[in-house]
Amino acid sequence: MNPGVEQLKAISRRFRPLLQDGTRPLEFIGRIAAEVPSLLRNGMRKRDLRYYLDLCGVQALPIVLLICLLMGMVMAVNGQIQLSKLGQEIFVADAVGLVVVKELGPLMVAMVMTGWAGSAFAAEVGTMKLDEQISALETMGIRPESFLVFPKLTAMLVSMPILTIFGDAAGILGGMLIGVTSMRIPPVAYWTRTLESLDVTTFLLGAAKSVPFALLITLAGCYCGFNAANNSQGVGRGATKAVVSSIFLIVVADVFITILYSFIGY
Amino acid sequence: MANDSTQKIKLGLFVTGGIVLFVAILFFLGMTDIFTNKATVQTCFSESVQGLTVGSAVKYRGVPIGSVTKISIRVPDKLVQVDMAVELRHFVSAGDHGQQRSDFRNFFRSELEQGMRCRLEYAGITGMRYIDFDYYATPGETLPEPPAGIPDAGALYIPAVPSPFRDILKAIGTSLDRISRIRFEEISDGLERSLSELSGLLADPALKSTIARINEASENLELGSRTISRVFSEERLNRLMGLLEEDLEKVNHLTEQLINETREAKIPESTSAFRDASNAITFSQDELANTLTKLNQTLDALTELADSLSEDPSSIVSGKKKQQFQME
Amino acid sequence: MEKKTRPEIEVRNLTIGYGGNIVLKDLNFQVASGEIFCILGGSGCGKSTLLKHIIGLYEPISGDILIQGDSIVQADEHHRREIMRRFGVTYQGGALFSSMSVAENVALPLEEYTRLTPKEIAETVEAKLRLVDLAGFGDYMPAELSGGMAKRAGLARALALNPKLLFFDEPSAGLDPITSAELDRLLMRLRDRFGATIVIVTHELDSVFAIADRIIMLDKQTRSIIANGPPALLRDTSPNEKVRAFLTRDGLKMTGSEARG
Repeated sequence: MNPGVEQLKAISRRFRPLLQDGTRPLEFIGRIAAEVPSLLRNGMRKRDLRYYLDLCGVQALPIVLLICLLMGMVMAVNGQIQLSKLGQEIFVADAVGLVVVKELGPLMVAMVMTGWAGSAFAAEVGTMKLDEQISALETMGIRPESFLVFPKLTAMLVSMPILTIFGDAAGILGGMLIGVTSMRIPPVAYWTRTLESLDVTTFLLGAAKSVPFALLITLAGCYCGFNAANNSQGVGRGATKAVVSSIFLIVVADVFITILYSFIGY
Repeated sequence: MANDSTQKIKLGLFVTGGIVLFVAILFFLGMTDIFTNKATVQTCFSESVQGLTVGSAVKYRGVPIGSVTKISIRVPDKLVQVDMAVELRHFVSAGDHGQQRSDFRNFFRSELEQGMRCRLEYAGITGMRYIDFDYYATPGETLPEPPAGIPDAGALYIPAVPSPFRDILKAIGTSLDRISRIRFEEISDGLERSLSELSGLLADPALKSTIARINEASENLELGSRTISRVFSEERLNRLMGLLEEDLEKVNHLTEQLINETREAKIPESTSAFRDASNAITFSQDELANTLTKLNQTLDALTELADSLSEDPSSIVSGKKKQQFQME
Repeated sequence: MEKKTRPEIEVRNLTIGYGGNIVLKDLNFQVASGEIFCILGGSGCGKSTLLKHIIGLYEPISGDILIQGDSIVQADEHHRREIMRRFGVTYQGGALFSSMSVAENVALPLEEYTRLTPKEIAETVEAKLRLVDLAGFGDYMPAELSGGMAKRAGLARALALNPKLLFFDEPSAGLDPITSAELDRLLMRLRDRFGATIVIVTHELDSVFAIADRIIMLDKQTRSIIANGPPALLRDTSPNEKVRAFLTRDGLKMTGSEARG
């Protein structure tokens, strides 16, 4: 036998697990996608959906508002330091408005939700697996992937854009608080300046980012839960993995989305 | 279950709040556009529209009335075509949308005849520009024909006038042109010819008109230097100053010659005709000196401007370190 | 008629394992209709793994498993789920869905697979809960139940679709002897009243002798079945010392001496 071929085979054997790591998430996504038609036919359990809407929307709102408000304030203070050198503090309104609506709003909400929902999903699914609840679902003839993922996914797809809108508003409000109190810009002037710098397309494109982010957080969370090792440490590691991979995926997706938007001129 | 119903209420509040906020933001950010009555106005610029973008403001004598909706290059004539949307609510007019529109059309047509034109203006230190509608042309001036292809159906056309920047360049160009056209050679030739022809020479209307022209030119130059403190490029300035200096040297040379020749000429003092001539020459000398002083002043002003520009180029648009709130 | 002769479960030449490591190989056995069948073996011999293969959760390395004549191994995904709905499984800890109440847990298969009205579903759930002595606990959340109750609730859920075949994974593990005995009686009742076939994975000898019609015993060393028959008969007459030792609770000493010898 050709030693070169043998070596190649050895190498390919070593890389097979790696390749499987790459294909398994795809398989997971495929399983879920395959269930979409039956979801559309049969719907999902309303109670589960309501529970996750409550968890990912209502309960996450205060922390999202707080963090976005603070981020808006931080940006305004930093903008003030720079722009006051030119005597152009009013442009803080532009800076905060644009950055919050375009980038920081959707991104901060995604980060908060990664910690809030993504890790919870992973831990929940991981525990269900540990507790044989997943097996139980399976032997009832119910597909655990779709049964567990769809309510979470729907809730996230609904609540993330709403949270992002709230987050945008809170960020602008934070900037305005600093603008009005520390820079003594009249609120009306700040408001006019903010409206001046933004337009509907920017706002919509910014808020639209939350949809792929929601998808990524949910899928990463559930995937890490389903693939967590069958012990309590495994569940913990699954949650960590969910958070880390979500953040990574969100940032990568944001890069792609920004490039995509740049093609259409935004 | 009470717990269950509070959860539902919160959920409802969350979703409703989100939707209300969404609609409110859309509304504030200009979804109102859909409901506003607009007219399309088109123009073409032959100069660079650097600093003008889609969304740039359109103003009527400083009042924002709309925004630029499209900027395109016309391939056949290389003109830059700019489409603007003018919001009619800025023009107080009773009646429904149709009434508003026809009122605006009438207003627009009559104002065009009154000399209304559009021009690119700087919006602040950022280099951003806006389009200003104002009365740059003299009333009753014939309207230039719109370039082929515009206005589109339903749109209005407003001719563009060159921006102030171009005006300054043009004024200086004219001034220099006039200075260079002064017939210095002819003057010196005439002086050289003979002293006996002096009185005749001095009476020559050509010199008078030359001096008058020099005066005029230098006034133009002064005007130029005053307006120039708004926009100018250093390189161009240097070139201009080179030209100016050259011209000035010629004038100096001429004056020296004049003085020398006057001195050298051994004029019999008893001749009254000659005294007259001498007086006349002194007078004209004064006038020339005056002209030169003015030229010198202009030169000083230009030098000062050049210096200050090289120190602080942004003062072209911002003015001299004036702190001001820019709010449109 | 034919139903009587056809075994409920038939395992043919089954080899199972994880990621290349063979746990059990060349298994062959059948479970007859109406039988209480126990899978026995020491810890780590692969009892639970075997069960998970039989109920279709894992794919075997080779061999075939027929449930009521249909191969759960070769079935496509859709058909496999259809086969899975024919039997009920009760997991070790009950595996109740922690986000749902006990009644909702039991109602889930009914909601998913029947066209019953909500009222009919509620009645069925109540009947199933009464069957496992949990009447009135429908509104409890799984976290509020004791271990035995959770197992019985899991059994009620497994019974929801009236399956003729039931699997139990360590039903008496973690239960006190009295609760364990109650559970045994419940299983007997199920078999007697509904003619159910019951497959139990366990190592509780008391239960085995009380209820099992037939057992198979798995062995870690040989990775195969070392005994197949009625428990009392095996205890007394098995030629294999290991089997006798296990069934008489002499296991530790005997396997210890065997390992040395």
